[in-house]
Amino acid sequence: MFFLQATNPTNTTYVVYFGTFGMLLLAVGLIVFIVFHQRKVIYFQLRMKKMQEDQQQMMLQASIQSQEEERQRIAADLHDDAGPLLATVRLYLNEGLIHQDQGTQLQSIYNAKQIIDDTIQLIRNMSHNLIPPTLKNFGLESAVNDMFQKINGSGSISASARFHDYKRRLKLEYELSIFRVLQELVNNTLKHSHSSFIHLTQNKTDQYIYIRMHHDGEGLTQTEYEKLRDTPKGMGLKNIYSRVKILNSKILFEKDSSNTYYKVTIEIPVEAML
Amino acid sequence: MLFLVENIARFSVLVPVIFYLFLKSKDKSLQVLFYFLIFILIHQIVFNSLNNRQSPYTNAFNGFYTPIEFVFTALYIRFNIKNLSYKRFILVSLVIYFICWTPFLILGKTQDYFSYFRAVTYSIIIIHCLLFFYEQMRYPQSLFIYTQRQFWGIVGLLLFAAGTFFIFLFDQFSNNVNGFLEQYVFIHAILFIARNLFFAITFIIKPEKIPFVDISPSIT
Repeated sequence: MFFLQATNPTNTTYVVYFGTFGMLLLAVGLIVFIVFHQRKVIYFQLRMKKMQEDQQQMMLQASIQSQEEERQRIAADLHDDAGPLLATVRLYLNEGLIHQDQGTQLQSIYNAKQIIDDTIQLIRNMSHNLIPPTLKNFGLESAVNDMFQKINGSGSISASARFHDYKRRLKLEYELSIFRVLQELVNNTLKHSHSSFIHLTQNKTDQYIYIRMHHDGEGLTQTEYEKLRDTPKGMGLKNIYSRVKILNSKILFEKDSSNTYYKVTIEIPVEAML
Repeated sequence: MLFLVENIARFSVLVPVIFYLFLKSKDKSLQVLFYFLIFILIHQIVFNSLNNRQSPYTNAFNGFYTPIEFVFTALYIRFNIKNLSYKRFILVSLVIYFICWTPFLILGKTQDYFSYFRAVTYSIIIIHCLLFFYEQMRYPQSLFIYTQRQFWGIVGLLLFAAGTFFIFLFDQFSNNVNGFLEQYVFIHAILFIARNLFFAITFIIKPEKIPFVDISPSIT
C-alpha cells in the first residue's frame, strides 16, 4: 500500500474519481466483451452442431442407400436367376408330362431336379453374400482367410493375413461389421490401388484390438479419406465410417514411415465387444 | 442533492425486496439474494439507530457488515456456478478469508484496517464474479447471456465491487481530506442504487423454459 501513503491527500479526490471511473469502465468493458464473446461461442457451437447433424444425415442416407442397393441386388438375383429357373422347372413338370412316355418323363424329372439343384445353389450363394457362413461358424479370422484365398485364386494379387491374438471371438454382429469394413477396404484396394500384395495383421492389447492392412499400391491418407468421405461419391467410405462409428472404434489411413506402403489401422475397443 | 441521493439509495433496497415477494421463487440463489437484501435493510436500520445515539458500538457493528456481505455474495455466486472446481475455489476462498481476517476483525479495529479489509474483500468478490463470467464464456448456457437472471445479479455485484473499490481503499483518508466523505457517500449511493436495480432485474426476468442444448463436454 505504498502508493496510498505516497499519495498527496489533496489529490485523493481526483484519484478516487478517476480510479472509480477506471474500474467501472473496466468492469463494463469486460461485461460487454463477455456478452459478445459468449454469443460468438454459441454461434460456433451451433455451427458445429449443424455440421454434425449434416454429417449424421449423410451417414444415414448412405446407410439407407446401401441397404436399398442390397435389396435391389437380391431382388435382381431372385428375379433374373431364381425366377427363370423355377419357371423352367414348372415347364418340365406341367400337366402334359403324364401323357408322355416313361423315358421322356424320366428325362423331364431329371432336368427339373438339375434346375432345382441349381436354384438351391443360387439361393445358398445369395445367403452367403448376406452373411458368410465361414464368418458365422468359424469367426473373423477364418472368414478373412477365406476371402484372401479367393483373391489369391485370381492370381493377379497376393493376399495374406496373420492373426496374432484372436483366441476369443467377438460378438457375431461386431465380427460382421469388421468383416464388412475389411471387405470394403480390400475391394477399394483391388479397384484403385494397383498393388501387388495385401497383407493384414491383427494384434491385441488389454484395451484394443488392432487390425492393420498394408498394400504397396496407391492409397489414401487420413486427410484424403476424410475429404472423400464427405463428398456425395464416397459411398463405400461413408459405409466404412458409419460401421466404424457403430463399433465405437477408430480408423486411420496413413502412408508407412518408409513411404513405400499404405496402411489402414482399425482400433477396436475390446471391452465393448466381449 | 447528496441528501436526496443518499435517501434514494436507502429506499432502493426495497425495490428488489418487493419484486422478490411478488415472485416467491424457490430458486436457492434468489433466496440468498433476498436474505442478503433483508440483511442490508436490518443493518441500515440498526446502524442508523446506533449512529443517531452516538453509540460506541457503531464501528464494531459496522465491522461485521463486510464479512457477512462477503458470505452472501460468495454463496450467491457459488449457487450460480456449475463447475465443481470453481465451486470448491469459492468455498476455499471463503474459509481462508475467515481464517485470515477473524483475528484482525477482533483485534485491530482501526480505520486503516477497515479500509484495506473492504478493498481486499471486494477484490475477492470481483474474482468470484470473473469466475462466473469465465464459465459462461467457456460453457454458454443460453444464446443470449443477458436473458439469464443470474447474469444481472452478478453484473450488479461486479459493478458495485469494482466501483466502490477505490472509495473503500481511500476510506482511511476520510478524516484528512476535505470533501472525501461527500464523495464517498455519493459514489457509494449511486452504485448502491445501481446494484439494487440490477437485483430487481434479476428477480423480474423469467427463467428460460427451453434450456439451450450444449454440445460441449460435461463440466461437472
